[in-house]
Amino acid sequence: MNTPAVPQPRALPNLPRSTNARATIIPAVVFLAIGLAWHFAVTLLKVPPIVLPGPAAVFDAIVEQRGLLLEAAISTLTEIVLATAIAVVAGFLTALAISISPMVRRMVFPYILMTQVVPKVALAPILIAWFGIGMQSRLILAFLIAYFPMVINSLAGLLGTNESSVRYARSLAASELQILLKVRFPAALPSIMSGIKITAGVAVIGIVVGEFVATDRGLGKVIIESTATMDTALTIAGVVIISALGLLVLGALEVIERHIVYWQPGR
Amino acid sequence: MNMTRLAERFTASWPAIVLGLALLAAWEGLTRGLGLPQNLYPAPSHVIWSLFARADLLLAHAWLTFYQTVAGFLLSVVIGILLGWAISKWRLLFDSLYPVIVVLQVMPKEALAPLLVLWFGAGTLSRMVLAFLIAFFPMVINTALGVRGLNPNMRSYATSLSCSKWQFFTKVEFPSALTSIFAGMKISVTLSVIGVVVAEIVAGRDGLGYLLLFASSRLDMGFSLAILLVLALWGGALFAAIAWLETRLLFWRH
Repeated sequence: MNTPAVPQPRALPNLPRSTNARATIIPAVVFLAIGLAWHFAVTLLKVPPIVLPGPAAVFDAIVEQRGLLLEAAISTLTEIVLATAIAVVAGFLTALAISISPMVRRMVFPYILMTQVVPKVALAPILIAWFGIGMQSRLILAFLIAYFPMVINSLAGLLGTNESSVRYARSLAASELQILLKVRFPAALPSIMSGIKITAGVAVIGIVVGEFVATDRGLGKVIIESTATMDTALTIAGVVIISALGLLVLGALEVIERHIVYWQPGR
Repeated sequence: MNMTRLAERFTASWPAIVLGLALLAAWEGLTRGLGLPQNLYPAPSHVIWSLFARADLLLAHAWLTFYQTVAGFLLSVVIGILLGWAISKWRLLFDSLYPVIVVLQVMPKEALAPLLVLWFGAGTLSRMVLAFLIAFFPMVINTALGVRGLNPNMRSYATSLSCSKWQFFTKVEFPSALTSIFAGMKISVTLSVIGVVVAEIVAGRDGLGYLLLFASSRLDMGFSLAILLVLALWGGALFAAIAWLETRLLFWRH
């Protein structure tokens, strides 16, 4: 089977990158310029801080409200990691079942592809009606968003094994379990790792949207409540921290990937 | 499509059809047999009933969601292609903007919804902007991938035929980038529905997201699931439209 025809949202492409000093200096300059432009636009145009506070005010808000933000960030991060872990395990096991049995594949796979075009965030109000305003609803939402990309990526990896290596292993009298563990699984690892990265990325979205609707704790709650009190500096601080958490999780996975899939060229 | 291909397609997909029907029947039988309250745990037939019983209300809100997703999507396609093209043509632009694009791509743009509502109000504009922001980055990245992925032999071949810059663009470069651009559009069109729905849920006065929140808060789950069904069909219809356009425009690939 080829890679499924349905797109994978939020996958990061490996565009050719400049490897020299250009690649580190220019982005640094650009990010600095964006920060300065933001600062001077706000101060020179006298933008009211309710509409858009400057970067300094956002930094102050982070320092001032560090207790609140830290507590919210820990809660959000915990839920992101939990939802990702559940989706990764369940998604991989589903893909394994589908890859072993062609019948299961024909029964289930069309539906898995179909879910990719459904806006699953719209489940948020429904899940809250069924499971209440709590961690449970958010975890289920994030799981439902994150599970399907994991299935599709793992399956693409498991079915994409070079069949001649499988035949070679068979000729060496390897058992089916050995073939799975020593041939198919390692061959699928790069695809599984990129599945895990997509899964983690969309789990962040599931948790945050969940926190917007089920506002009992987390950074989503801080963001929503600060807009209600017109504390825009705190709103932006919340957005900055949730983005940083997303980058942190993906960065960690990137490091893990480099250690696990060390043989993959260009990584 | 002729009859034999239709028949082939059916034989290939009958296990899926059987599973789907079995699940629907089990769901229907379970909720009816156990006598569960239909407002909270509706049977499929109740969901379909809600769909038709409140069709006028549904249509009034669906229309808003539909045109906002299309507007946000088209905006992301036009601006995304232009910027993607620009960064793949100018090295300095690529080096300076690509890292910013990568960081923004990873960032959960849905988290911006309350801020956008603060800036642009709880109406159409904030939803279109969120749909645009979510759908825009795959367009930029896929356009850049398409332009940069041109087979270098094609370039030298076109040069050897001494074609003009305009001919090169219209006959070689653009058609070859289209494959990747369409892949981006398939991602973006789905994301633009998500953007509008999130904005409607976070701060809504109207639209399907708002209606869904309203119906769920009244524990009218039959209607809630009917709205979800409409959103799913809308996402599927948009995706199918792009896929159809792709087979028409990229006829040489089939």
